[in-house]
Amino acid sequence: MLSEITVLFRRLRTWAMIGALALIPVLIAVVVRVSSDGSGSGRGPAFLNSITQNGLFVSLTALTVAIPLFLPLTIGVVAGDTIAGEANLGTLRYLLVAPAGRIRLLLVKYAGAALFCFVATLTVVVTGGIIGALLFPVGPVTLLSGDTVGIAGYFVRLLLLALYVTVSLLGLSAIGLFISTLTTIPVGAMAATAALAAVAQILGALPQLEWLHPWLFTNYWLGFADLLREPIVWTSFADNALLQAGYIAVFGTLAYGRFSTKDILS
Amino acid sequence: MNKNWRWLPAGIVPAVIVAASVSGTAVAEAQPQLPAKTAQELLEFVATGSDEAYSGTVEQESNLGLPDIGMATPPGGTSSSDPTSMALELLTGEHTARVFVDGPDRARVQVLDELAERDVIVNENEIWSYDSRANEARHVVLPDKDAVKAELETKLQENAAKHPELQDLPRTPAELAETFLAKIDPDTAVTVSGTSRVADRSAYELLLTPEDPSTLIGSISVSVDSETGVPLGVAVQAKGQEDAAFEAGFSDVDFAAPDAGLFEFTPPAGATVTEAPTADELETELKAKTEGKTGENTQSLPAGSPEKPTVVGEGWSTIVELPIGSAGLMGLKPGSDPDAGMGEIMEIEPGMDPEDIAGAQAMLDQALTEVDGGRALQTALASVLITDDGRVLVGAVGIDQLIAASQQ
Repeated sequence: MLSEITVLFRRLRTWAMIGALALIPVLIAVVVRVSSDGSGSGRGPAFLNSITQNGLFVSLTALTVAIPLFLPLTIGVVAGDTIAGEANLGTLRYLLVAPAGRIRLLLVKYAGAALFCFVATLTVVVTGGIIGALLFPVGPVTLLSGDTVGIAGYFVRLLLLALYVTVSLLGLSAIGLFISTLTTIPVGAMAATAALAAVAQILGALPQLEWLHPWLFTNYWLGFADLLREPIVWTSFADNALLQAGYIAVFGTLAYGRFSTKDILS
Repeated sequence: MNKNWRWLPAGIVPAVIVAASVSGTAVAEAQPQLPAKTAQELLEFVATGSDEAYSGTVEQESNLGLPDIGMATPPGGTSSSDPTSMALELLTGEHTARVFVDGPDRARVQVLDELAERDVIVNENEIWSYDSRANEARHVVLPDKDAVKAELETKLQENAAKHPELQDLPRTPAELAETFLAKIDPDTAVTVSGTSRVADRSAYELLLTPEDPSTLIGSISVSVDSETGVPLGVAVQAKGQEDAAFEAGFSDVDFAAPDAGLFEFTPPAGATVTEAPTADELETELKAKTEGKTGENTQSLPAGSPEKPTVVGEGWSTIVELPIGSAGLMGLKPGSDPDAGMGEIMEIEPGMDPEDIAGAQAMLDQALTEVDGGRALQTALASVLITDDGRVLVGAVGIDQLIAASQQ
């Protein structure tokens, strides 16, 4: 387990992806800072206008921007690589020669992907907070309900937020793990996982498919805003967790079915 | 070696999930057994429920056959701040709101939008509204409630000699229920149609059925909580439509007093705060407006115009006719030239993208259909007719009846 995580985080690619994610809030903050002339145009992603008044909003804006595309993309790369990457390198059979067992290997791989989800989200949130504090004034934060919370209260909510987004991405990680067991070409698994995230979001945007929406793993992705209300709406947190647990169960068992029956040749 | 059993969990898990979600909805359908109540008793019960404190989540859905106005406004748009389009937006599509109520004097409603929220907070005689997307707050101070009550009472006493019937004003819940029933009796059947479960609580169903054949409204049902008398849901059925045309109800409710701090609102730093004029200020303003420019280009609705709206018919098929010129007042251009549209229904603000305005306009143009003598909008529950000479007719009846009324 520990060695798997060190391998994951020793990779240059992992750090490049985390660096790219960290770049999002930095880019947003710098652009807003440079172009800030006091005129709120009312366009662009949510919270963007609030940045000039309070730097802590950089985290939120960055998270809103990162959730639909960048986070699923990086998760797709990590989750898609889990099994197929080892197979591609020819190291999978050596891993299985050791008395580790296939279930354990799957679990360890999945735990690594889940940890990456949390680190990636936390990176966006924390760099957002730091760069925002450096470039803009910082003060009590206005919640969506119009109430304000102090900085300490805000950081508690940010932590919850990072947790929420991590949980949101667990379903996608499970899908990625399953796809990864199907192939020995990691790039294929990565692309398929990232593409699935995009497809789910497109389906979620079509009002004609409303009956399907509660079943899409992307359904609650933007529900993190419910943590920014006063009092906090916990139902979306619970619904989201339940939905993601369902995806983990389905695709986890599928991955087990596939991985435990397949002949490992490489 | 047969390893196929290892696929077994992958088959069982989805089956279990589907079974769980199906049985979950089936359990919620069961009807509770409650002691029978007459409509009169139930209405009294509702009237006593106004002192309750509770909080919960309300889901609202409507199938009016209107285009979804919410789609016309961009995610970062600001047009929702003006009351007309906000009301339209709330009437169409789906919404989730949280409601906190503490007796009759304090309440807070939060409309939960995606990445945004709209709040209305009522605390004694103060009303705040807040829109997180535009970061705008609006503050209204109502005249002191007790003072108004006392004033009304003295007026009532003064006029008692002249109008003895005023003495019979309903005071108690029982009287209120009686008056309500007497008022709507001639053309409405009021019954307790049964029981239901709303937000995991047992409820009585109060059913109002119009006996007027010409109205579009099929029936209105109100779910009343069996323990507290608080209305938990409303559904309006249109004639000839299977799904409810308008539906709002609690999806969960908690009868504990909400946190008192929720009703205290201080606008956040950086928000645009508008102080609404008090009643006196409004009156003087209105006077100035009517004296200054009568008729065209007045922003407010016919309050300032010389003619009053006329009412045709009664009961459920009542048609309200706004006089000539009101279409222009509201920014509706009468006639059938390609320019005609609902310009100011969505208040056009200088900052708005012209494309958005054009898009919304086109959508509303699409909703209006060409009819004999004007243009009309037909929804499941009501119709609107804008005649070529600039009158506006509104009623819960079919368009043909509006046309007939307009030609009288």
